[in-house]
Amino acid sequence: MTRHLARLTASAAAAVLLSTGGALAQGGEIVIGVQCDRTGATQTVGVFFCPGNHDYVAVINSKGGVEGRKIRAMEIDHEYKVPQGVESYERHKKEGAVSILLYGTPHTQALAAKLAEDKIPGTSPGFGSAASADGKRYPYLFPVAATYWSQAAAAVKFTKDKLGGNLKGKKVAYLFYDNPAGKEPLPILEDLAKLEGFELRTFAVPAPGVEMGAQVLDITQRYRADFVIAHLFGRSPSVSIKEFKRTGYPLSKVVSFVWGSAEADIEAAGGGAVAEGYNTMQFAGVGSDYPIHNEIRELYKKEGKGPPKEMASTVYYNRGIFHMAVHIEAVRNALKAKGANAKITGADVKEGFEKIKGVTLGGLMPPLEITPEDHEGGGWVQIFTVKGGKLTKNSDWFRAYPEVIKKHIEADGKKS
Amino acid sequence: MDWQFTFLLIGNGVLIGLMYSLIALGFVIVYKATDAINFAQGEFVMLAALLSAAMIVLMELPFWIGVIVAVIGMVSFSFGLERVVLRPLLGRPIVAVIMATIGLAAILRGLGPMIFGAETRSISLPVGDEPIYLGPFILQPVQVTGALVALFFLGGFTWFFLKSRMGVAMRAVADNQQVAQAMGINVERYFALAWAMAGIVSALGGVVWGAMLGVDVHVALIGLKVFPVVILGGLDSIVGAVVGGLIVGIVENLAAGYLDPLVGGGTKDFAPYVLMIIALMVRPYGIFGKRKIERV
Repeated sequence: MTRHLARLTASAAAAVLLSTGGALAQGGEIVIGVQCDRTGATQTVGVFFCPGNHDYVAVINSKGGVEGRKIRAMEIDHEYKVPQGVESYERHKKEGAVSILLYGTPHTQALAAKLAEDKIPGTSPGFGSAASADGKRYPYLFPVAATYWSQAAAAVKFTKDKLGGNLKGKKVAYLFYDNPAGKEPLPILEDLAKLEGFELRTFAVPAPGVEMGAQVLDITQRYRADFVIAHLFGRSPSVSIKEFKRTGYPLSKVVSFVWGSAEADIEAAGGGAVAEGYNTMQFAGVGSDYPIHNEIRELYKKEGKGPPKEMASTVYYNRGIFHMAVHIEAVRNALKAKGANAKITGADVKEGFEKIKGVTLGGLMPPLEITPEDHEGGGWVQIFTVKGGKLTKNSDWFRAYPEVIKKHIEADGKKS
Repeated sequence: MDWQFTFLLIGNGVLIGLMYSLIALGFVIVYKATDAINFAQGEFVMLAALLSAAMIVLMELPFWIGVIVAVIGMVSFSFGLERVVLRPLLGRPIVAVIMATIGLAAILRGLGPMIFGAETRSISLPVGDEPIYLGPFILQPVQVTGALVALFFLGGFTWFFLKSRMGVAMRAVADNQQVAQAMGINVERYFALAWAMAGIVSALGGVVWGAMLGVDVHVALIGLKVFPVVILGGLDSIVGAVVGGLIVGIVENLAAGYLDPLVGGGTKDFAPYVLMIIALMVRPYGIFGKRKIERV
């Protein structure tokens, strides 16, 4: 009898253990792959961007995870080198990552086919290709933020607003870094020049973009542009700010795409006093007064630390938060659809991305609405302007000329 | 032809060209005195800019302290370099010195960000950023300052080499080391002095170019402009450094202003090198250089 009871107890215990084990195996941590560049060509972005990724995950995990599941953000630094980027992807895949935060346009292009093949969704906010907004054509690529096409459209809209609501006969200069990313918005700008009746002249800045005196002289003294749309990278945004300032051109007549819009660019140009009036385009909120920042500060405080120093570079840090937040929401949607303890796959998370709507993190994120057709989520931006030495909000989230963007996406789809 | 724009480009080219001359001057002094070609001239300028930015931005010391520290730092560095790396190469083939400076350039480009950080720092000359309007010209205070500094040093070094006892001794050393030594000139001392002088102009070049562009490893790229400048002007000519600088500054500006719109951009970077290649074919010793050609 005793032996029988013991056997029963043992069996019951084994059953409980097995079932629990099964649940643990299924309901364990969820791996999200993070590509990063803390040491390569764009490390000045990565050193702020990546901590934003991790701090957001830490906040989520501190609250019990997503639907009770802990998130493991597996970061690999690829030094902005494509071979390392591809290798990092393979390591993420091996670790069972259900989605990947890509980093870098060439890396995104190198991995686009692999992502679709392996059914792992990857995101490319602020880089990659504008055509990948087409969810039907690129099912596993998600720009999730305004592409260069949408940024160009928004820049024209902003220019129009600043020039009194009418661009007819106005002169607009497009100052761009002479690489494929710099050239990508050209078709949109040319289309909009016809549509709005403004004159467009383009000025290329060759790599590495540290000298553009002649181009700026041309824009300001010969062409005499009414407005300048700048799309520069790395060192060149700060050099452009200095050059415009030194030729007496008002920086309030310059609007920059997202990679010339960080505090670091303004500091490198000589600080807020030099850059006063400069307009920056943003795909995530700027500043450290959003609710999520308080949660992060609180978390650090519990550990007896001050807030992370990276938080001071709010443009890049917040983009890091934004980038991770869309993944967390996609995972959340996947778990809601399949059950909190279910094993979710990349395909499930892909569908999760396509249900993202109305998550704003108190205004840090735009009113994204990602659908199976639109992987960009609307192409929203905000303008922040340097006022009193600080980046100050100059507009609410807005998007522009969606019909023009749609036309180009469709045309690009027909090419392939 | 828009003449006002042309004048603007030429005016800007003159100022930038003089700033190139300042950097080229370091190169010329070293070559003039030691016969060594310094391929790390751009990195010298970068190091000086990083040093001054470390003082002015990181340690929040006054601008002039930053400049003085950069000068002292670069003179010490150049002395040390001459003593540790270059002196053992005395009497060796010239290619050994060239390879040593190429290696040094790579080391400095790696060490600079490692020691001082990779982010771009901004240093400002105490002359402001507001443009100066002079008839059809728009002058940038930082460029005017850089050009004046360049002219001051170009004049000073010209006098030094032509009129001072030490300068004449340096020229003698450059002309023939063995004979100079036989005449009682301390060759090693003058080598060290030449490198120290190159350190001084690199320091000032670093400060003005750092203020112009912002300070980070990219400042070293300005060193690439030295080669067309000195090939055009003459490797061993101070006047040549000025003339070469002016030619490069004006040509690249005109190319960017008039050729870029036609071809889509990028001519500014290679136009000086086209000139350099033509100069090498037509007059390899430069406009003011000595007619002494060596196969390197």
